[in-house]
Amino acid sequence: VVRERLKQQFGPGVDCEIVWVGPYAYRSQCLDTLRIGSVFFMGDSAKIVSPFGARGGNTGVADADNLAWKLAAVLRDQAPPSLLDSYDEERHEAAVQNVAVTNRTARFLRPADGMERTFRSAAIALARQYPFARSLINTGRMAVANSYTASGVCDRTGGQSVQNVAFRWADGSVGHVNDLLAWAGGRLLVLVFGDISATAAQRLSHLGVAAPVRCVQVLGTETWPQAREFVIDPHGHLQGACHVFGHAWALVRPDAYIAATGESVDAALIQAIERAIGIQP
Amino acid sequence: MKTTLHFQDADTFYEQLLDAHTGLSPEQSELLNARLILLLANQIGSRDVLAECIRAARELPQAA
Repeated sequence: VVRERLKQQFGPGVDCEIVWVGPYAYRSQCLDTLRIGSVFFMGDSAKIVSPFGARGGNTGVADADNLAWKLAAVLRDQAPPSLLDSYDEERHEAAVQNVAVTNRTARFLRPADGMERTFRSAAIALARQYPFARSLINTGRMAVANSYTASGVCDRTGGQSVQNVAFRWADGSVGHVNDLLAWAGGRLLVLVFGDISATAAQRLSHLGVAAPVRCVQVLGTETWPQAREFVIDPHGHLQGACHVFGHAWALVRPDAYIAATGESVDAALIQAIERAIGIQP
Repeated sequence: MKTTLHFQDADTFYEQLLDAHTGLSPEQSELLNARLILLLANQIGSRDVLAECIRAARELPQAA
């Protein structure tokens, strides 16, 4: 049977050697909590997903990314231990979503007899002619960076991941978001887009000293640097990746997630920073 | 979800629906219904309206 299927797939001229054939059962499991005391569960120890969309590896790395900077900040006394609670809040939400997404795929690939199979046949038949029906064909959805909607350390304006887009350093050379995060060295990054007032510039320079953050002004093509550190975003890619428009700030975490965004450099930014490192209001 | 009359011509639609099933085996009829539901659902599009329609179809209102 396997040989016949492979022949259909690759054509009769392609020779192949079958090393192993075995039954495979989809299964998915998820822990109720990803933290028990000082034990943190991540990757396959946290949840098992059916193997669709490169989810096992990608979400495992995202789990590690999420915890690493928090552990480092707590160990360096830059954040209270309560910051670690947000690991479960954020990655458990992601784990539940990923299990749900792969369960949908498994259900499409192996529908229950009866109406589930009927609807799959209907969807496949329609997909031959109609583009809309192709979106129902679920042979696996690629892993995405899950957003955090229930995190105690993310504002409702935050929780989304930042794509690793390109920008220019002050000297004109090309950099990427990951380089900027590496430069920030495990501290939060305050990106301020567009012109900033003298007061705001002063507040930002104080902030860089008082809090575990690095402040960077992001310039368009027609603005002049007013802060000590600045980068250039000629096409607005960095701004788009931070999900903000116009004059705004974005508080970016070391794991390339937005903690919060806002408009003016004022107390709201300070509160967002405190919240992002786990200081309860 | 609309619950008041929205059909341009309800009787014609109903007749066309029945005619479409004429001469089909139960299995073919099920497939036709499934294709039709998917086509109609895409016309609606809205996640909320679709969810409400599914709920309404599952839970018939209590007879007075």
